[in-house]
Amino acid sequence: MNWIKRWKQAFIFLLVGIHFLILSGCWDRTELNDLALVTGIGIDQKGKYVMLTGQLVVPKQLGAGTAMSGSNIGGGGATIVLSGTGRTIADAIANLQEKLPRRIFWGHVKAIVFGEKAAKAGIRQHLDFLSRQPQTRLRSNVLIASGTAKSVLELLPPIEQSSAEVLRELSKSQILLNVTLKDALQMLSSDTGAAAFPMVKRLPLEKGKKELETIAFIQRTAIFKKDKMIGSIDDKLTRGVLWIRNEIKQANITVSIKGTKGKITATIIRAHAELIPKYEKGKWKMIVNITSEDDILLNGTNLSLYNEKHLHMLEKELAHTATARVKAALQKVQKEMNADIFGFADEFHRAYPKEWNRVKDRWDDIFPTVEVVVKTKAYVRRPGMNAAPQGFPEQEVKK
Amino acid sequence: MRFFKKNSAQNLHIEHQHEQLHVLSFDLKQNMQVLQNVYDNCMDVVFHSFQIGGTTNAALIYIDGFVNIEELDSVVLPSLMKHPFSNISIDIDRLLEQTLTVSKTKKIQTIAECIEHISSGSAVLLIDSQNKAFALGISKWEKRSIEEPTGESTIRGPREGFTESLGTNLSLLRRKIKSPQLKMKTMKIGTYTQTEVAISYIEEIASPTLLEEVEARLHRINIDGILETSYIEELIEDNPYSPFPQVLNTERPDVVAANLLEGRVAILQDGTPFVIIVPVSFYSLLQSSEDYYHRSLIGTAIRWLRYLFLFISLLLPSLYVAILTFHQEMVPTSLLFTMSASRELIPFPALVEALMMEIVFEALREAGVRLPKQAGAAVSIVGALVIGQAAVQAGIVSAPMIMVVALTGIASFTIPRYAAGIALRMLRFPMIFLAGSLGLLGIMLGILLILTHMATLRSFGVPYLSPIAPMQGREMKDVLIRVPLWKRNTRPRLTGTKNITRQSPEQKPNPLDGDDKMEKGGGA
Amino acid sequence: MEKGKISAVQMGIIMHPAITATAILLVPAITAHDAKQDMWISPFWASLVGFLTVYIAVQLHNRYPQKTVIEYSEQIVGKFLGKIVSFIFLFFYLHVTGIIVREYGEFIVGNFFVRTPLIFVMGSMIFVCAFAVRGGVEIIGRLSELIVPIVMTIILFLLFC
Repeated sequence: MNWIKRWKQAFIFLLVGIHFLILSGCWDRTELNDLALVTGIGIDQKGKYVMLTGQLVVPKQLGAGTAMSGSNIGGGGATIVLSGTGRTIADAIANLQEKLPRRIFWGHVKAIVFGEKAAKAGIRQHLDFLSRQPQTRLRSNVLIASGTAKSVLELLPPIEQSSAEVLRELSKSQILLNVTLKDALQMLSSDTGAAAFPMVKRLPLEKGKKELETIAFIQRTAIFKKDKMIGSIDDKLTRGVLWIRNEIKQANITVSIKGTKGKITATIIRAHAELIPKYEKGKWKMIVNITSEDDILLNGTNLSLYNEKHLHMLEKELAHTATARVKAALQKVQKEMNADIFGFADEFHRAYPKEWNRVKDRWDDIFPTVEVVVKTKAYVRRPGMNAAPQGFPEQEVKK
Repeated sequence: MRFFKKNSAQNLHIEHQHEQLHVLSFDLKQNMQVLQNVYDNCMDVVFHSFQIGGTTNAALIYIDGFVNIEELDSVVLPSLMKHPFSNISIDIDRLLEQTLTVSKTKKIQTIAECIEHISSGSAVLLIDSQNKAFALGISKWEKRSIEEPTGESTIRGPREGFTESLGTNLSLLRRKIKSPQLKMKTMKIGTYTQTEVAISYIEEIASPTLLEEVEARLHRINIDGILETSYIEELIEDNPYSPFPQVLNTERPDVVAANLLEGRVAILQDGTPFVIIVPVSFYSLLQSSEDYYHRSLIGTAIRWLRYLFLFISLLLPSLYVAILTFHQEMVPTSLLFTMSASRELIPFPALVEALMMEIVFEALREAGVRLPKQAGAAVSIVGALVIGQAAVQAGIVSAPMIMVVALTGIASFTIPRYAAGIALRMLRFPMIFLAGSLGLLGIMLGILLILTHMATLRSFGVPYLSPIAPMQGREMKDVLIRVPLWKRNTRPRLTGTKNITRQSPEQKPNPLDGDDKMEKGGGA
Repeated sequence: MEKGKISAVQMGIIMHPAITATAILLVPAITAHDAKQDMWISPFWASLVGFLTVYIAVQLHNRYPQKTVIEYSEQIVGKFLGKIVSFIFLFFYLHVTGIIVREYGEFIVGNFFVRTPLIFVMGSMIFVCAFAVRGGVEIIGRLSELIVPIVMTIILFLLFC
C-alpha cells in the first residue's frame, strides 16, 4: 500500500500549501497601497507635549508611472505634512496614526528634524525611540531647525520632490556638517558628551512664488552639550570646526597677499587633520596638524604663480588663514561654549587611559583649559590651467 | 550479450501471439501461408511470387514504401529470373555470391526473423524447397534531409542536426568520431513499435559501470511502444518526481560527440532527432555548445550571464512580490515613490497581480509554440499590446509588474536547455506563493528547499550539483569558468576515473617558441 | 546508522554555519558589553578553547578509531557513567540546536516580521531542515558546500564595504 502513503503525503503537502496561502492575509504583509510613506520627521516641543510632524508622500500627486495621472507632473504638492501630539514621541505617532487612513511607514525617512525648542529640551529620548524602532534607518540625516521643525518640513521645494530630500542632498554635499542618526548616537555616547548638528533655516521667499515654495538650507551648526542644545555657531566657524574634525571636504579660501592688490581664491582638494594628544606635568595639550592641498580657482593679483617664491608666499598665506579660522572656532566653542565637539576627549582617553580615568568626571572643567596648538600646512600642487594671471598686459605681471 | 537475450524474449512474445511462428519449412507454400496469416489485413505488405531461372518457385515479401522498388525491379528481379542454373537448391550460396547484386544480404532461419526484417524494411526472399530465407537490405523510405536544428541554433558551429532516421544519425555521429572505439550497440524496445535504440559510447573513455547501468535500465523497459526519447528518459531517470531533467537531450551531433569524449553515454532512437545523454549535472544543462566555440573569456562571461539570469528567471517575480509587500524599505526611495504611484489605482494585491501576469505570460508562450507560424505572430502582437499597454492603461496591473514579467520571460529563455528552463519557470510559481506569504524569508526557505532537492538528485550515480557540491576543485574549470582548450587536460570525473587524461599538457600557444626556431634556423 | 560518507572538507564546512549564527547575532553584544573597544581580541582567546576541543576530539578518535563518541565514552568511564555522558552529549546537541533555532527566530521576528508568531518562523525553518536531514548527511554536506561560500562572501562583502 505504498501508493496510499504517497498520496497521503502529497495531500498533507497540499494542505500545508493551502494554509500558507490562507494565512498569508495577516501578520506582516502590507500592500504598498496601504502604506503612508514618510520621508521626513519633525519633532517639536509644545509645552509639556511633543509634537511629531510627518512629511507624507502623496502617490497620486507624484505623477510618474501610470499614464492616467499624467496631468499632475511637477514638483509641487507631492508631499503633505500631518502632526500628532503626545507626551512622548511614540504617543505622538499613535496620535498621528489616528488621523491617517494608511499605516505609517518609516523605512524611507531621509531627514529627522528637531525644532529648536525640542533641541533645547533634550533629544535623548527621541533618539532612543528612533534607534530602537526597526523601521527607521540609521543613515537618515539629523538636523536642527531654527524655529519649528514643522515649518521646515511643510515647505514644497521647487526642485526636489520633498523638502526632506532637499535636506538630505544638502547634508550630503558636505559643505557644512553632515550628521546621520548613527553619527548622532555615537557623538552623544562618546566620552566628549557634546555633539554638533547642522542647523537649517528657511530661505526667504522669492517674489512671485507661492507661499511655501522655497527650501530650508543648512546655515549654522547647533552645539549640544549632553543632549541639550546650548547654542549655535555660524557657517564660518563651522568650517573651522570641520577642519579639526577632519571632515572638511569642500571649502574655498580667499587670501590677499601683502604688497599686491587683489585677491586669490583657492579651493581644497584634499585636507587632513591629525590630533596628537599630549599630557605633560598635569597639563593637557592637543596638537592639531592640518595639511591641505589646494588648487587655485581665481587669481586677482598680478603675481605670476609660475614663480615658486610667489607660490610659497601663497601657501603660507593659505595656511595662515586656515589657522585663523580654526582658532576662531576653538575660541568660540572651546572657551565660550565649553563643548568638546572636536572629539578631544576620545583622543586623550585612547592615548592616556590611566590619566584620563582620573579626570573623566571633571572633563568639563578641564576642556576649556586644554592648550591647543594648531599647525597648518598648505600645498598648492598646480596653479591651474594658467600660469600667469589673466587680463594683465605682459609687462605688469610680476614674474 | 544481454540484448540478444532480450530480443529473443521479445520475439518469443510475438511468437506467443501468432502461434505458428517456428523455423521455416522446406515448403514455400506453407511458409507463405504462415506469413500471409501474420500479415492478415496488412495491405501494405506485398507478396510477390516469381520463378528463379524460370524453374524454381520463389517469393519476395516486402512492405510497400519501405523498399527501394526501383532497385528491386532493375537489379534483384532480373538477376534472379534470368538465372541460368536449373537446380539452385544445391547452389544456394553461389546464388548469393555470384548472381544477386545486393551487398547487404542476410541468411535467416525463422519466421520471426522474417517478420523482423520485413518490418525493418528489408525484402525477404523465400525460395521453394529451402528452409532458409534471405533478407535483402534494400530498404529506402522517405526521410527528412539534414537540416539545421531549430531548437538549438548557434551563431558559430556546425549547422547539421539529427533527423528521424537512426541510420543517418549514427552516420552523422561516426563522421564526428571516426575511431573504431566509438561503439554503437542496438536493441529493440517496444512490443509493438519495435523501435530500434542505439547506445553509443567510446570504449576507452566511458566507464564500464556507467555503461552497465545504462544497459540494465534500458533492458528493464517493457512497454508497448516508444515514440520519442522522452519515453526512454522517463523510464530510466533516477528521480521521476523531480521537476528537473536528469538527462540532456539534444539534436546536435557536435554536442553528442563532445559529451561522448567526456565519457558520457548517448542513447539514440529511431524516429526522433532527439538524442539523450547521461549522466548530466545541473551545470551541464546550463551550458551551450557555443560556449566552446567562442573565445574562452567570452565563453566564461556568457556563462556567468546565464547564471545571473537563471536566478532572475526563478526569483524576480517573487522578489518583486516580497519586497513590495514585506520589505518596502529595501527599494531605493524614489523608485518606491514611482512604484507606489503606479500601484495606486491597482485593485489587486501584488501577489495576485504577479500570479496573474505570470500565468498569462506562460499561456502566451504556450500559444506561441503550438500555433502555426502565421498565427503565432498575431498572438505575439496581441500579447504585447494587451499585456504591455492595455492592461496598464485599464488599471489592472502596474507598469513595473510588466517589466518584471518581461524580464523573467527573457531570462528563462537564456537557459540553453529548454527542459531546464521550463523547470525553473514552473518553480517560480510556488516561489511567488512563498514570497507572498513570508516575504524574503519565504524566498530563502524556497531556495533552500529547491537546493536540498537538487542536492539529493543523482543522474546515473553522478550527484546533480557536482562538481560544486560535492566539491571537486579541478572539475570547476568547466563550471565557474570556461577554461581555454589548451588547459582542459583532464576529463570530468563522472562515475569513474577511467582514462582521465584528455590531451598532452602545455599546449598553450606560444609564438616565441616559433620565433626562436626561426631565428636559429636563420642563423644556421 | 546512516551509511553516508562525507569528506573532511565537507565536515569542516558543515561545522561552520553551526556557529556562524551565534557568532554574528548573539556573541558581539555580550562581548562588547564587557570588553568594549577591546572586543576584537576576544575571538583569539576564545579560539584557544576551540583548538583544545578539536585536539581532544582528534586524540580520542586516534585512540578509538571507527567508533562514535557514545561507544567509546562507555569504554572509557564504564557502562553506567558512559550512558550518562552520552545522554549529556545528546542533550547538548538538542540544546544547542534549540538555541540556534531560537536565535534565528528571535532575529527574524525582532527585526522584520514583528507580528508573525515565533513558532511559525521557527517551524518553517525546522521543516526545511527536516527536509535536508531526510536526504542524509551527504546531502547536508553538499548543501553546506553550496551555501557556506556564498554566505561567507556576503559577510566579507559587508565587512569591507
